[in-house]
Amino acid sequence: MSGNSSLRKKGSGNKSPEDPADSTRTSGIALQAAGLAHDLNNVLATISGYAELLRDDLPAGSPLKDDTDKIISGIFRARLLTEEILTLGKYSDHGIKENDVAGILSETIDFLMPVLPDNILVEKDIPGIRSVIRCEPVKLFRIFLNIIKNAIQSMECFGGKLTAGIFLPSPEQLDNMLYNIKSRSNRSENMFYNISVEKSFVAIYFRDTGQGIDESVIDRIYDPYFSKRDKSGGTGLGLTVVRNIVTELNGDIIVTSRPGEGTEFRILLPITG
Amino acid sequence: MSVILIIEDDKDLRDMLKTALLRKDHVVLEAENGKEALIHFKPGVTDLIITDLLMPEEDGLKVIMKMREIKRDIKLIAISGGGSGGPGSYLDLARALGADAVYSKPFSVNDLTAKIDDLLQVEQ
Repeated sequence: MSGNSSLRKKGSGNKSPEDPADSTRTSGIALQAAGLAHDLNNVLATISGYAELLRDDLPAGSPLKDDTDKIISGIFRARLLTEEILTLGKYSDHGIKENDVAGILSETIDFLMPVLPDNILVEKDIPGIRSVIRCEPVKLFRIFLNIIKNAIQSMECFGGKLTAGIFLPSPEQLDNMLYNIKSRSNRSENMFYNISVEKSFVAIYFRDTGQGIDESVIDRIYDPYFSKRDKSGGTGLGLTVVRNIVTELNGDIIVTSRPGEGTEFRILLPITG
Repeated sequence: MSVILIIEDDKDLRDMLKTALLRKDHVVLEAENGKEALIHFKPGVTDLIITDLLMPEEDGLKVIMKMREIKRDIKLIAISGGGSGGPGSYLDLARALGADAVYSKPFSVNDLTAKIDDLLQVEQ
């Protein structure tokens, strides 16, 4: 089954060399982000501490303990957001530059590891390959972060495993990805862009064991606010942003999913080195 | 019963920690920053210090180093709102400088008080 949808590829957003004015403009963002995250974490610590003390004061078997548990778990979800603020700040201090894709992928995962739910296992498959993309590093971080967050959401209730990896597909592999899509029962595949086998690409994949995406809606996962239909958290724009950035970087996304078994996002990005 | 010094510039957070420690029958001393803590530190009396790392007027890393100079076997717990960190983070540095435990905010206050019991039992 082929679900190709050709989108106009915008001209590369990486045309101009790094503008010194850009670095001046963005300098200090990391500092501001760090300050904001620090202050937020203080507030979160205060709230979660009192919520725990309140919970301890409740009599055994009190149904109110469920409410305090929800306050506490909400606090720890918020902690993920402050980590995101910190990392965004760190990456935002850089303008366009040559980026080691494997390095940013590994850093993004390492940064999130301490705040991931206990019932989710994360495995890295990041060999020492060289893959360089010239862009603002915050864009790569945002792609990886949004897909990881999406995967975590899909596994929140029952836990699961996320495998994140990177490889350099051969022309034959690229050819297979593009043209060898077979119709399989209970499996949906979505190809959103066209890839040229004449360019070199890096493939970054995220494979979760979450609830999966039904075939009837897989074409809509990039629609703004689509994910807010049945989820309580998030802006609903995560995958929209991913698609927009990947488009801007002249890349493609392949999604394969099986409801009840999990989903794989495979991002293909042209590399400069 | 143990004497615990809390060094934390955020008043609400300091009050929360004090409440939690008083409930565990500890005696609690407070300081808003490292400079104040060093002025009021009573090495003969204080059993354990909880210190924030990012503070005005002497940050927590300097506090850890100076407290260790004054009382080598003081128990030290570092807390930080600067992210979970990794190599090179403030918490990582605190560990390297000799903090007995480190916590990234927000943390479980019950985990913290259990750790305090643990550290003070070893001392006793």
